[in-house]
Amino acid sequence: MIALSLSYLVKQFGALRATDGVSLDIPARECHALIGPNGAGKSTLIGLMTGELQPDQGGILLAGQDVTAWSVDKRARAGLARSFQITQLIYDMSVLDNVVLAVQARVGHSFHFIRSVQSDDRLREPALDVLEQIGLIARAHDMAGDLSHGERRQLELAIALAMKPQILLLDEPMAGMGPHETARMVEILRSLRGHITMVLVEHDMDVVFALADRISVLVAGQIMITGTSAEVRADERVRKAYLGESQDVAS
Amino acid sequence: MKREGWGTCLVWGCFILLPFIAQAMGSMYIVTLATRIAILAMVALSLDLLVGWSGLVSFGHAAYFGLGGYVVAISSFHEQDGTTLFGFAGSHEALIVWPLAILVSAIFASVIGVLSLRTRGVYFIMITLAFAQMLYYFFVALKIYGGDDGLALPARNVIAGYKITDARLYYFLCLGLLACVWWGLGRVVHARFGYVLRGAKISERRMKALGFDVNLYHLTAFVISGALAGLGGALWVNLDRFVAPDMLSWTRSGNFLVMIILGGSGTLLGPVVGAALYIILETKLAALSDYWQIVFGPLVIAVALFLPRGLWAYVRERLS
Repeated sequence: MIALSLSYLVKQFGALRATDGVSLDIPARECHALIGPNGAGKSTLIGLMTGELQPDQGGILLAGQDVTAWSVDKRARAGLARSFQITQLIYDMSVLDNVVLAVQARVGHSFHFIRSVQSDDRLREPALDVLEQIGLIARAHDMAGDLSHGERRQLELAIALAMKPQILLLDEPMAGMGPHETARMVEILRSLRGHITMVLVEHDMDVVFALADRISVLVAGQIMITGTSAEVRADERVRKAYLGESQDVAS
Repeated sequence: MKREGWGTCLVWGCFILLPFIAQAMGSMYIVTLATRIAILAMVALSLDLLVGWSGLVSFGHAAYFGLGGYVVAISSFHEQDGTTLFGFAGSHEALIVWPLAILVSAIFASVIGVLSLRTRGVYFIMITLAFAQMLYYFFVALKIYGGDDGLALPARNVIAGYKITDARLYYFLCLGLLACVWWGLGRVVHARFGYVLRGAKISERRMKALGFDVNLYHLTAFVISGALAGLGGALWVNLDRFVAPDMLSWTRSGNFLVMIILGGSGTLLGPVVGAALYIILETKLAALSDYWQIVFGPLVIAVALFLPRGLWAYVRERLS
């Protein structure tokens, strides 16, 4: 089954075609990496998938359903979760409450006016479970604004996971992380592999090769090649366009 | 936490004891003043659901306050006059006209909310102000209900046929309703609904990505806020037994914001403290000079500069 299908997506900003006819089918439970040099249109493509941007041409299918006209929140309710490249946390709420909000969004509407969230174990328990899984449980009651950069990135992932998504869009989840934190994050993502569909935008090639089932290389708004890591590594055009001729991709 | 509770008790204790102190001092004027505070505190509290908890600075809240007031006055007018409005013969029964005031304010808030909530920030401030000004000029032009001169209420509304003539009784009624609003909003901001508002205040983008239809939650908050302001308006007109377009003026909207700023937004009791402070200062300073705002203005600026989270937030921090 195809979890996410992009058919000839075009997005134009003035004279710039940031996305220039991208077609891509991502099967369910695949970890699909999107790589490409800066300005290749990765962020635009993520924006089109989440619904923050509307394509000028083309369409998007989510589990076979046309969601092209759907709003961001409707797509999220249909099981599309994303982490932000620049963390978007509720900084004046506790770490736990940030995750609770994600659980809250999943379990139904939030037009509840009386019962305190703090005493609602139906929201707290699943949130605490996710924090345990991510390794942030010790900081559950600290303010999200007090977290270190690495911890914020972990919380980003925890929030996305608490949505129990069908598809997880990860926009540079390791950006700015130290090697230790990166290793931990890779471990977490590895444990999710084969369970949920993932689209991973990442610059760290080691991470990409470690996690991705298939890789798409995006250059100037177009997909140059889609294939396994071996196929991508072997491709001459990728070396030229993306990694530079002199550099050995395999290293 | 415990001592913060003491602070809360102190504020409510003052409110409860006030009429008895007033009696001892032989000044019933103080009761009227305190009733004013209770009513305005309710409206400021309702506005703070938008300003403090949702980050939506509405600059047109007097519109719903005034609408509530006009519903009460117009109902009494037709009851007295024997004429009808849209087939409604009018009434001076509070159990009919107060819910009607709430309903009318809620309806206007929902329409204005749908249109205003397409914008944010300074545009939201301007569009809410513009709608309030439209309603203001509408009532100025409405000659049948006194236009600019306003409309007097022949008598205070009766509650289930019972006349409230005693100023203290009316005060405790308003205080009771204020306490209900305070308690209710305290529940709301800690419930799921309030969590969505608080989340969207910091990052709407995040909340949408989680799957929340943020606009729907904002609109609901806008309607709740407007409805409560309508109730405040109904109480206000019953206190003064008079309504005028002045109730919908933009300076009135500004005053509600000043109360929130003085007391502290997003602190629940802050707007109540702010309303009390505003009325007390206004009364005391105006007794000294016609130009009382020369003193009051810098005072507000000083609070905004040195206690940016408001007086109540400062006291609360000191206590805990």
